[in-house]
Amino acid sequence: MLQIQNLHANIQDENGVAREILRGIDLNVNAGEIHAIMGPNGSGKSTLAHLLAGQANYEITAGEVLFEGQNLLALEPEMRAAAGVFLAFQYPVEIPGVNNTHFLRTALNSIRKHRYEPPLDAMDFLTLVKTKMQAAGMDEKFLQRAVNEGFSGGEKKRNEVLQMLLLQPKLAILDETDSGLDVDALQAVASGVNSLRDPSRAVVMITHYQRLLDYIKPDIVHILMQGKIVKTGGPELAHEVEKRGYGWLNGATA
Amino acid sequence: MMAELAHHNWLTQHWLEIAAREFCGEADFRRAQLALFLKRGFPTRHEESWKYTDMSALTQASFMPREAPAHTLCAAIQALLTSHVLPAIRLVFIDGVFYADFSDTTQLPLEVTYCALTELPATQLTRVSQQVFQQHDATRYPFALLNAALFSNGFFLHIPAHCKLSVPLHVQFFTTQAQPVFCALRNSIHMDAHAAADILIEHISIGHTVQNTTNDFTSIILADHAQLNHIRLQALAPTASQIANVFVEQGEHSQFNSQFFACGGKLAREDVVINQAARDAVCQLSGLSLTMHDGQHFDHHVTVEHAAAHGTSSMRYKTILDNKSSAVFNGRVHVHPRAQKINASQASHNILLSPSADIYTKPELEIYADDVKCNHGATVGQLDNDALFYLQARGIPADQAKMLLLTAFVEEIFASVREATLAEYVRVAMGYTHAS
Repeated sequence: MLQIQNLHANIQDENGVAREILRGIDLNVNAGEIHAIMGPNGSGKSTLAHLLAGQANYEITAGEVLFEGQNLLALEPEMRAAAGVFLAFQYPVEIPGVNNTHFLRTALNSIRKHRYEPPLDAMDFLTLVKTKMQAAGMDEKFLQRAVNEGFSGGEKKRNEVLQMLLLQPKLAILDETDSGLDVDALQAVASGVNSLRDPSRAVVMITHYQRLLDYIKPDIVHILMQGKIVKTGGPELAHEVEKRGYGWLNGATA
Repeated sequence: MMAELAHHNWLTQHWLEIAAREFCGEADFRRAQLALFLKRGFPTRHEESWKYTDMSALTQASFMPREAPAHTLCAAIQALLTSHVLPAIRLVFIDGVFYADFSDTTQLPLEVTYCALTELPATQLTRVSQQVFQQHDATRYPFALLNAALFSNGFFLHIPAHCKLSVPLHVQFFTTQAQPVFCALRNSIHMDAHAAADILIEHISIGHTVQNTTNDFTSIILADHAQLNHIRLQALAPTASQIANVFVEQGEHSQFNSQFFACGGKLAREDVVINQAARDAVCQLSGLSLTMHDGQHFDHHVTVEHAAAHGTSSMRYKTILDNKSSAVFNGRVHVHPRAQKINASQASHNILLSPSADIYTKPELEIYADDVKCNHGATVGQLDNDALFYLQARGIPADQAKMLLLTAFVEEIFASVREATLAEYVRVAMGYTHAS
């Protein structure tokens, strides 16, 4: 489903100096798989997630990314979403003045349009969104609010899960979705992700901690350090990192 | 005076035309105003309040006589009036000429006077033209002086005490001239004690190459406890220009709610002056300006004179600028020494969609009383790129995502229009349909 080959990317700091963040990422994600990418702060995990979703702040200097055989990097963010890529943000953006229901319906109908499906009218949408909200453990009052405005950390993450459940992506990338969550919220997020699990979809979880992986069992675990995947293994790798930290992986190769 | 006039070809011509008409015996008044204008001269960029707005083109302009609008244009206007019919009591002017056939005053209560100046009895007309605002420094508002000398029409509204209009009033000034034409309009609103009304005053062009320059003047007098919801909509062609003055006198406990919307015109200057000389007056002012075209320039000056105690004023103005357009917002709150316990707030928020757009925003507070509450704030920014990316990452196309964010930015201004049908009307005219 997703093939990343030798991906290099720079970001420019405020002085206009380019700094290399990704230094040759290779990653293959097949349909039906759940991957976890772990790594210390500043290793490039979030950069990778944002870059896949289409954030324009990065300069790609080498490599390619194929999504279902298509050059993902050539697509605008909205076309990536339409193709089935979903990024659950680590810091969901607050958008004052934009009503959450209106936003959710506009998003869903934009994606349905790409799938040649008719738009949902307000009533049908409301019925659908209410069932999904239940699944995400979200109160219906959040439909009336502005997008993420004044939401707590947990509420924002639940809103991300709600969007994921509505849009039904093929590839869900979760960027530190577990950070700052209490156990209830963590369980809601995990059950949302697990409900998406099926042979035609894939999930990439980016996380610092093993904790999320107790709720969503990964098939494959990667360790990202200094812009490269330095080790790949099964779920046991996550436990090892939990015990020993990342230090022992310095200089290791995948 | 004629010697000074001789420097201004088009002005001389207009003056001679107006003088020849002997507009209801007001020649002395007009002559006096013209003399004041000539003494003062056209404003130049050396003056602080005209620093960013160059009126020199006007001094060199050569205006032509108005031509009767073509039948096709009249038909277009008629079609517009039937398709966008607002449930309102309507007066229609085309290039300054009143069109009774297009107007509809069937719902007007008998005790209310609401008509074109050219339809007004001579005795009433005296009230209009003589309305000079002694307390304002006339030389500050040169185009108000020019207007007094040159006005050829306008509307008159008088609402007697305790009369509350349930149907909104709608005045439409259409402009259609394909060659440069100058037209001065003088409007007058008098509301007696406890009267209430909603009015939408619209300036709109039919056609994209309209060359009218409109000099518009509106005086509004609100007696004690009168309440006016006043909406101005400027949707001129990108080649038309407008210079407007709105002078408001507020009585005790009167309420003036005013929303200003502008999305057209090449050069549009607006000076609004609200005088609260009586206590407990309230004015709530807001505005939305959209400049989109290269060379388009809007200049909005608003002054609130707090000359009495316990007054309230608020200003909330927003501008969105694109391409090589520019805009000025100058909001001035002047609190006189005896105006204790007033509450004044002022906000100017601006979004630049293009790196070549310019906004000059300047709040001015002049406070000579010691027991007052005043605040002001101004922001200039771009669309939030993180929000834009977030929306796009959910499948919403970039253009639509921008529109969502802009709609969120402007919505509170539309929402401040109290009458729902008028709010919807200006939303559509400004290109923002209601977000569901």
